[in-house]
Amino acid sequence: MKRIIVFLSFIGITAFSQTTVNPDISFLGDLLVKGDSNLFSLTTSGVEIAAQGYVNPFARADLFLHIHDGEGTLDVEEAFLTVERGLPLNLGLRAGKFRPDFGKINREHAHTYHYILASRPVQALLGEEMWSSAGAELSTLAPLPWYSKLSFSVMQNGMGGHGHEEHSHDKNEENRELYEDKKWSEKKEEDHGNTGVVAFRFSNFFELNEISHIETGLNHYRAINESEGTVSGVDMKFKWRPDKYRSFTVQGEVMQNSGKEEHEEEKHHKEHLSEEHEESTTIAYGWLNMQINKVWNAGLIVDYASELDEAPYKSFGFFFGFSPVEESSVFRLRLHQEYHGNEDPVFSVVGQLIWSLGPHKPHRF
Amino acid sequence: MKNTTLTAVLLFSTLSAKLSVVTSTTDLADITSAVGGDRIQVVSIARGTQDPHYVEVLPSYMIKVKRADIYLKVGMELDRWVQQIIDGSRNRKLVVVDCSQDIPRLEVPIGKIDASRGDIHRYGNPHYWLDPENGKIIAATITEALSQADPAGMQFYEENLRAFSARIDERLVMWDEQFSGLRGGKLIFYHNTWPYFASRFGLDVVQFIEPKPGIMPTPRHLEKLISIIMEQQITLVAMEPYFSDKVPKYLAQKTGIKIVKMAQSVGARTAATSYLEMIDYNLEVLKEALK
Repeated sequence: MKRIIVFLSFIGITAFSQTTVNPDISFLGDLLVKGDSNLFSLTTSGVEIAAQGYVNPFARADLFLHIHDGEGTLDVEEAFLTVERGLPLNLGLRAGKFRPDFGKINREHAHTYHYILASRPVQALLGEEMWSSAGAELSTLAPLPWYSKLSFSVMQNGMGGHGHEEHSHDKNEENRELYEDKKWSEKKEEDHGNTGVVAFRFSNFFELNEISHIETGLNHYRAINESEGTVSGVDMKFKWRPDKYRSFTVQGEVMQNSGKEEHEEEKHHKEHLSEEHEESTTIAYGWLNMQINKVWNAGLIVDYASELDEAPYKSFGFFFGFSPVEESSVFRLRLHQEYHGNEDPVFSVVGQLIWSLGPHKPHRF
Repeated sequence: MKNTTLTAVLLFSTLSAKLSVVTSTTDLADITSAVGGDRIQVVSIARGTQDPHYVEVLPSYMIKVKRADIYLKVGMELDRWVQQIIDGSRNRKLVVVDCSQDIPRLEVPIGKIDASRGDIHRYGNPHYWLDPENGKIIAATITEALSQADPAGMQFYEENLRAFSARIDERLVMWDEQFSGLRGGKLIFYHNTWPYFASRFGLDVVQFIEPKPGIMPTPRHLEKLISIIMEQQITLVAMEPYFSDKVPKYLAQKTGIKIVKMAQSVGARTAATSYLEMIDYNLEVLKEALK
C-alpha cells in the first residue's frame, strides 16, 4: 500500500508539473565494491530518482526517491515544497518530508560524497541516510552585510531513523556486524523518534576574497519531550578555488549528543538504571579535498566518536576521484582504517562507479 | 554637526536612489554601465576570468541579488546557475530580464538532444554577445528594462543607448577596414564559444579541441586534429583563458601551431577593459597571430 501511495505521489507531482512544463528528472546509480579482511562484496546503493521543478512562480518542489537494491522498496527520501520568494521578512519555508537544516552533512546527498560513504559515527547519530522526516522549516536571512541565515525546523521524527530493511534480510553475518550501528540508530528512533523534535541552525557565510570563502554553523536539536535528549553541533567549511577546475576544500563538524545514551544502554542492558549512563557522546568528522584538475581529486577524512557501541571509535581514510569525461560519471576509491575500542584495527577498501542521467549530478567542482 | 548629518542623509538618499542591477557576466555589466550611466549601480556575479557555464552558487551572491532591483541574465541556458541565486535572494521585487530575448540565434540544435551530443544548449549557442551587432540588441533590451524600473530616466537611458550603438557602428566600420585580412582565416578553437564572432568577422572555424561541447579531447580526436592541421595548414589555436593549455601545447609541439588566448568576456584578459575593448583585443590578437 505504501509503495502504491509513493508511486501515485510521484506520478501526481510529475503530471501536475507537466501541465505547464516538465520538471528536471534525474536518475543516479552506482556500483560499490567493498573489501576488508573478512568481506568482499559487489553491491549497489540502488537507484535515486530526483524530480525538481517549479509548481508556481513562488514555490519549487523537490522529490527524491530511492529504490534499494534487492528489496523492491521505493523509499521517499525527500518530498518537499520550498517557498523562497514571495514571503515577507526575508522568510523562506520548506514543508513536506525533507532533511532539516542541521549541520552540513545532513543536507548533503550521498552521491556528492568524495569519500563514498558517511562515517559510522555520523550514520549512528543521524541515520544511515541522514536525518529526514516530515515537518516544516522556517528560515530568514538576517539583515547583515554578509549572508547570515537562521533556520527553525519542527519535525515529526527524530534523528537516527530512515534506515531501510537491508540488514534484517542480510544473510551474511559479517555484513550484519558491519551495519550494527545502523540497527542501533534505528532502535533509537523507536525510543525517541515519534514524539516531535525541533532543530535550529544559525549559519554565516563570508567571502574572504574573490577565490575563497568560509562558512560556519551552530546547530541545536531537541526533542519536544525534553527528557529525550539534545544534540548540539558546530560546523565549518572553507573553500579555495583559484580557477575553473582546481580547488581545495576543508569541511568539519562536531556534534554532541546528550541524554540519549541512557536509553540505548537501557535497551541493551535492562538491568542497569538509566541514571548510571547519562553520558554525552561526541562525534566529529573532518575531510579535505584537493581538486587537482578537471579529472582528478584526492583527499583525506578522519572520523571520531567518543563512544560507538560502548567503545571509542576513530578512523582515517584517503580517497581519490577520477572523472574522465564529465561529472555525470565518476570513479571513486577510498582506503580506510578503523580503530574501535580494543578490537584489531580494520582496514577496508571501497570503490565506487557512480553515474547520473539528468541535471542532478554526483560530483561538484 | 546638523549640516554634516544632512549631507550624509542626502548622500545616502542619492546613493540608494540609484537603480541596483546585478548581471550574470561582466559583458552585461559593462553594457549596462554604458546605458545606465550614473543613474545605476551594477555588479556582475561571474568574473571575466571565469567560465560562465560553471559558476559555483555562493550565498554571498544571494546577498548581492537581495538588494537589487533588476537581474540581467545571459539566458539560452548558459547561466543555469542563476535561478538558485535568485531564489535564494528572497527578493520579492526583483525584475529578471533575459538578455537573449531578441537575439537572432545561431546553432539551434535539431533532433534529439541528449548528453551523447556533449553539453549542448537546446536554445542555440549562447555566446551571442561576442557579435557587436548583438551588443546593440542587448543594450536595447537593457534600456527597456531600466526605463521600466526608472521611468524618470527613460530619456537618459535612450540617449545613452543611441550613443553606445553609434560607437559600435563606428567601430564596425573601423574593424571592417582594419581587420579585413581576417576574413577566411582558418583556425581551431578550444570550445565552441565563437560562432557569433566568427560569423561577424568572417573567420573559418575548422575544428574544436573539444570533440563535443564540454568533452575533453580523446587521443583519437587529437590524432584527427593533428592530421587536419597538417593537411589544411592551420596555423592557429585560439582558446579561452580558463581552459588548461595542456592540449593546445601538445598540438603546438607536434605541429608548430600557434596558441592565442582570447577574451570571451570583459576582464578575461587585462586589455579587455570594456565591451568594445574586448572585441578590439580579440581582433588584434587574431590579426597578429594569423599574419
